[in-house]
Amino acid sequence: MGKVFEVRWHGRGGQGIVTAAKLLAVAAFHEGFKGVQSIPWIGAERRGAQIEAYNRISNEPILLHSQVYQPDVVIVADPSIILENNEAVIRGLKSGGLLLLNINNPNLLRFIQVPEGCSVYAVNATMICMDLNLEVAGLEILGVPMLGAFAKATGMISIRSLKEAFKESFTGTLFQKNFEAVEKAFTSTNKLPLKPDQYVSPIPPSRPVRIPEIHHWTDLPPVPVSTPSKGSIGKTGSWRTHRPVIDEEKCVKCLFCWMYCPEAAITVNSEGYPQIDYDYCKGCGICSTECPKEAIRMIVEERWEAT
Amino acid sequence: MSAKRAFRESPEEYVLPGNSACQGCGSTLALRWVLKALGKRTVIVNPASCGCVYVGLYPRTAVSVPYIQMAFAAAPSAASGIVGGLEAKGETDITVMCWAGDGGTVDIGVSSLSGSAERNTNYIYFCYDNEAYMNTGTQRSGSTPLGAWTTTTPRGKRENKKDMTLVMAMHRIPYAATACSSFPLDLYEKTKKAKTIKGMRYIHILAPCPPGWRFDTGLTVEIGRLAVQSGMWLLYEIENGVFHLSSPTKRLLENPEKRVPVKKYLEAQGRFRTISNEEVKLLQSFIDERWEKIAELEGKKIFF
Repeated sequence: MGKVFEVRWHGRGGQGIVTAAKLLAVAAFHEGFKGVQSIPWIGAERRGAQIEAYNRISNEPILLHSQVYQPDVVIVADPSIILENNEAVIRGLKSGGLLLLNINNPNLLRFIQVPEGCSVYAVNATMICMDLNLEVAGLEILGVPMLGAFAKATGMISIRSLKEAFKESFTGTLFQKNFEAVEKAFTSTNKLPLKPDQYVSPIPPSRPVRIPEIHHWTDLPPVPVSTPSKGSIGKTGSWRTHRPVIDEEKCVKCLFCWMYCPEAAITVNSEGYPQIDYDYCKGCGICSTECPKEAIRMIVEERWEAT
Repeated sequence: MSAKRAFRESPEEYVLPGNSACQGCGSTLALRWVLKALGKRTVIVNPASCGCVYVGLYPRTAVSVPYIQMAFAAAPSAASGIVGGLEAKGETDITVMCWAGDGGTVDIGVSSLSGSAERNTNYIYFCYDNEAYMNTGTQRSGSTPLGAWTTTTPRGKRENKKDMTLVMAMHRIPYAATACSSFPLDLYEKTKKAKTIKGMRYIHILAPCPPGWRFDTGLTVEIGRLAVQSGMWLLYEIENGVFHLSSPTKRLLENPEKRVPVKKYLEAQGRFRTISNEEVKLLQSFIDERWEKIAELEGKKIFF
């Protein structure tokens, strides 16, 4: 079997990452590669939760069907993911590999670390999606422009093959809009210069957990009982793309926001004003829609400016 | 009741923040208010559903009352066992409840549910209805409405929604009701009332689902409200066979001009984008006929 080129995508549920990985596989096939794969890794399907997807591209049929542990290219479609856990994103990335980022704020750059010998390419995919109104149910489809960036950065796949792949999946204006996003991303992808201290030694790939062998019932662990705790899956505030902000001057303490919050992330302080727990608020925007006094505004999340 | 009074009455949260539910999830909002009404002395049995996921992975959980995850078809059976065990121990102040999705209720769990209703087991069954198998990525269920897109009905569903509340009420259980997560205080009051009744109680909650119904996460409450205002979803109680409309629906019965055309409800959601004009008309005439029927039934005993 010849060299297999492996890709790992990082994104959030609802951003079209799985679809983009599928389109990449189809485009690679049109390009003439004989072995192509796209594999989604979602866990439980949750909008806003982190997901991964994988691609394998080779000149010969591929017999390996596992997740990708040592990718040649890592694509990060949502900038908040690399801020949340840089190490998880670059784990297993080969020395000499590529990191492909969606960066919508230049201030973000200084937080990025890559293994030695890797190069970093960036594109403002969020802006491209917003300009073209490439959204489904309020979420930008960031996976699509990242395909254009992939074509530019790796040179493996031509725009023409991508066009053919898109033609098979979309028709009419939908095709136009999606393909325009790819073209825009292709022309605006740039290689980023990094400072020497941003290069780190490679992070070893994660391996599947081994389950200990059990020969007798006494080897079993005690009955697993979970403990109730806030943040049972971590600080879900990182899911947020928009941040609700309460204007206390307009607030009449009706507590509608507290009542309608599905996350129970709104508490009431001693003066009777609602307060948002930004550690856990997922930024759904229900409080802002339901506030009768329009005292809650949703502003674009710029978490990194505070860090 | 106002939100302020509800806060004074039940400030404690039993569904903790930082769980893995989607942004703008209608069913966590409903569970939050159900548990506010039932309080700490509650045991939840949950068949496979979104609920199983947002409650969290070992070693942590997002719900601060005992919570048992059960196989898809067996939640009412497990609840019956727990009720029996608690009775044998003489624990009378503990409420046992099932928290099941629409797939686990109207399709897969219906036989054990019907059995527990026939035995009149002393527990409350909540069905949160997001109108498809949302946990696995939107597959059609018996509860999906006519014309709705799912991954298994790409051109829209051809059949009507199963009316599970009436099916359950006709088991002659002491209490059956419908609710909607967009009216949390109505749900809170109904749950409090159900808590005081002995025997099998059934509450069917419409819980809008942003990813599956294809709308912006901020509109969860608005969409549920439109479902009630258009008459697609009726809020009522059947207590010992007597049918009563709840105030949000009753207001619409008395003031027909306040009703919203069903088209407005359908247009607000991406899942109805393939619905044909004939199907919209069909749904509207179905709703209009239902308004006439419930006007006759209001306040009357419907068991016969």
